[in-house]
Amino acid sequence: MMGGSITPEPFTRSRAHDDLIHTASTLIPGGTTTSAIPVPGLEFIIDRGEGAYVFDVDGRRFADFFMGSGPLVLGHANVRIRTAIERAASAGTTHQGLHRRTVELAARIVDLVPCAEQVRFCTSGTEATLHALRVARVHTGRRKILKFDGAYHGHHDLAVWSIGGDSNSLPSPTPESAGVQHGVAEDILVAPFNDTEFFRTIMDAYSEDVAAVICEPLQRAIPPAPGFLEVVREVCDRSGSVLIFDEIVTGFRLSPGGAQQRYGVTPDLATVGKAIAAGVPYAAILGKKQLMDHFDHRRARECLSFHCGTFSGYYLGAECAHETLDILVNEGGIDRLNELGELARDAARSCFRDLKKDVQVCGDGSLFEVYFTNQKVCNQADIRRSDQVYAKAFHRKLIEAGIYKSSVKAYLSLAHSQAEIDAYTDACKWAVKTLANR
Amino acid sequence: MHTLSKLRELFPDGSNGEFGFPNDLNIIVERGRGAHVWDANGRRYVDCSLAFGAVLLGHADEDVNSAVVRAAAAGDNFGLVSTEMLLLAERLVSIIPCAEKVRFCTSGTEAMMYSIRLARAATGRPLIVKFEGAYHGATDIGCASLVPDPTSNAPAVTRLDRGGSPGLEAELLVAPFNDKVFIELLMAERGDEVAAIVVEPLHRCIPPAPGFLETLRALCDHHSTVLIFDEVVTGFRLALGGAQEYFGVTPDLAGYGKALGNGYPIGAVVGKSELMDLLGENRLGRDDYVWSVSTGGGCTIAAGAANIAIRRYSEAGFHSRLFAVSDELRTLIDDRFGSIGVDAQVLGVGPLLQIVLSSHPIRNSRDMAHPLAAAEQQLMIEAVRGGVLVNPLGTKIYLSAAHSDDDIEFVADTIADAWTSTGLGARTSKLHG
Repeated sequence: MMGGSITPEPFTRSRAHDDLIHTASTLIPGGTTTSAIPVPGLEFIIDRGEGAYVFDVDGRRFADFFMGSGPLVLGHANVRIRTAIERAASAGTTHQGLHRRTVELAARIVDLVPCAEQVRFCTSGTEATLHALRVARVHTGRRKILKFDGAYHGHHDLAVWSIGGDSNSLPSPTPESAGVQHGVAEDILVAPFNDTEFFRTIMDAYSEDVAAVICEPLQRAIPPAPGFLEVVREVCDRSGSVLIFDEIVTGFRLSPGGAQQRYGVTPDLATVGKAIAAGVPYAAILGKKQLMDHFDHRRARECLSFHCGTFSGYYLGAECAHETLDILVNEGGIDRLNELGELARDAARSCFRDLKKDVQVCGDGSLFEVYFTNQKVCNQADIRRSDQVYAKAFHRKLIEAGIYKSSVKAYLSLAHSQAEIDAYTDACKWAVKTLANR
Repeated sequence: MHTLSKLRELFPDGSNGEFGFPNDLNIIVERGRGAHVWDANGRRYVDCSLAFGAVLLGHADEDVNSAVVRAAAAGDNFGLVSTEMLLLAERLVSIIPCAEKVRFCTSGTEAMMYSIRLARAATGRPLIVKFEGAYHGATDIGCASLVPDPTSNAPAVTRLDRGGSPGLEAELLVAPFNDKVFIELLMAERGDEVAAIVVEPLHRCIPPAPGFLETLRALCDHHSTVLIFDEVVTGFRLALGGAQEYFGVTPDLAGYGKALGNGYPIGAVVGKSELMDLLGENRLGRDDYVWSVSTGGGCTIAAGAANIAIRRYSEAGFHSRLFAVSDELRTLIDDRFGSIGVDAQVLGVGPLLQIVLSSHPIRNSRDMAHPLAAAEQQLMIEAVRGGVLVNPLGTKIYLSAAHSDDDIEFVADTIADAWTSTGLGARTSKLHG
């Protein structure tokens, strides 16, 4: 396995598999429905997942570094999560009124997460950031939202701006989707991540207007520069803007209290999702009581922030979250994840150093990404300046080599081990060599 | 009660968003089975909320549970299409009249948000028409004009809170449900700027007047406007193919949630290919590309639950039994109220019922704002005290395939008792007088 001399089996599909791909593209626009975009020519339909691996319908195995885009922090089909699902299913999965275990989960979260004084659960990260942003507007009576270029906060109208698109127009946003309500764009400001000066300037200019600054404390795979989050916190305090940490990715993954605990900066509101329930849809809005209180439906209309959702009280999600927190927090899971992340980043660095390929290996905790550039990567503009054409070709090769990973970032889970990290670096070596021989 | 005090301390309003109970009625749920829910004190409720309609077969249905346990063993979430998800897409396309393609998400809110975005992108027009009182999820448009503004004679754009975006007033037109003349005039004037008419075909519990949905269909055809049915409530409940099958009018797009997964969170946008194709990732970077992405959308345990649930909804006699039990409850409530002498009617279709304390015809949400509307909520709160779990804010009664004759008799008796034993009857008769 070690040594980088692998030659993967050619990527092939059975006739039946081709038919399924065809059916998928006939019934589902783009042949995808969730968060991964199939690579043309290398599409595959998933039959099952097990630990750190997924298997397509032909039985071809992929080491999974996508992990459902983050939620599968314990790996696929974790046996304790399966038991939790079975337990919850037998009591009915969702009800009007909260389950005892859901209330206990809220107490647990409030104990763990620095900013959390109260909790509201919802179904998806998208719902969570939508409600958090609306609370900030209600609280401040202001409308503008500042986000960072390249950050992803779901796909409601306030979120679909300046993610992958160009950054020439900052602080004006670039739309990522058609069909968004007009007028929303006027409320969005975009700043480069990790650029303290830009942030201060833009916040000075709009200090009376910004309801919320929303940020991924670890933006995609880019860690905050020392002092950056502190400046964001201090400027928000000064301008009276609500600071929201979107911890959908980092919550319960980077540390028991999420990125806010790891980086030592406490926001006013935070959103969590993904890892919280190890794969089943579940999310939450957390924050200071004076903000969360706006959700109280008995409040006068001027200070009410409407929140509603059929599956918000999803008991099965709570049951899975308890099990996940047992493993991640009480049994040292997060420490192991962080250790795996260090191993993976070290392995990637040494692999590309051996290959004499200029890369930046970024990430924190159990998240990492390799950017093809010799320049330091601090924000989305740096990613755009990296060799994205090469990255695209490289990721095609990874799939051929049996590594399932998006080009945004790699996720590790507790089902991963040195063996999968080795498989990843072996695949990297093969990909780089194959691309060099084209 | 330790957990109850925790509930009030940790959750704004001691709820997760939509309970609307007086504080003494906040319950902690311990389990649900079939048509029943038990609280932490062991008290049993006949459940007529069914998790806000998310459950149609009943809680903890054994078929659904075994499908879920089986699906969970193969992993839940992959980011790519799984065989379970593909099977569900095939099922939806085969049973829903307007469905040619499918996109999964996790909630009805998301499904309706995508539908509206698709319509705007496809037409390049900004305006959306909705009906006063309709709820289409927790987005700006979804919860606009939910409560008729009593100070205005005509429907207007109102907001539930100040958290929304500007542009709503300029881009939303609000019409009264079932008012053919109003919508015809509105479309004659603005139709060519209207991206979509979005409608709950069964407007809350108010059925469409004969020909009303057909009028919407014809207006949309005439103006090349997209007709969107919000089938989050009606999907699978009124008929296997939803309200569009039941009422015989086919929209261009429809959003689903709630009963689709019988208790497992899954939503779907379905519709005509020419619209749905705007979601295709092969359009990434194009001006008309509509972006949708969902970490949890169509996950295999929810898709597995949906597959088995739909198989059950498809069984011969499923809907006729569901409707028979529901109509029996209508009769029982009519009887009980008739013998007490309450001026009331039961709105709704099939397993969706709503008690209205007025004998006037109810055609739209404005008609719902009659003098005893607050007493309807009070009646539901008293029903909860009596052991029938309902949502006091929505005042809608949901029935499931698991409700027995005994259950509905209990519901009718409890509601009648709530009326007499609480003095509600005495107070409201004064109002009538």
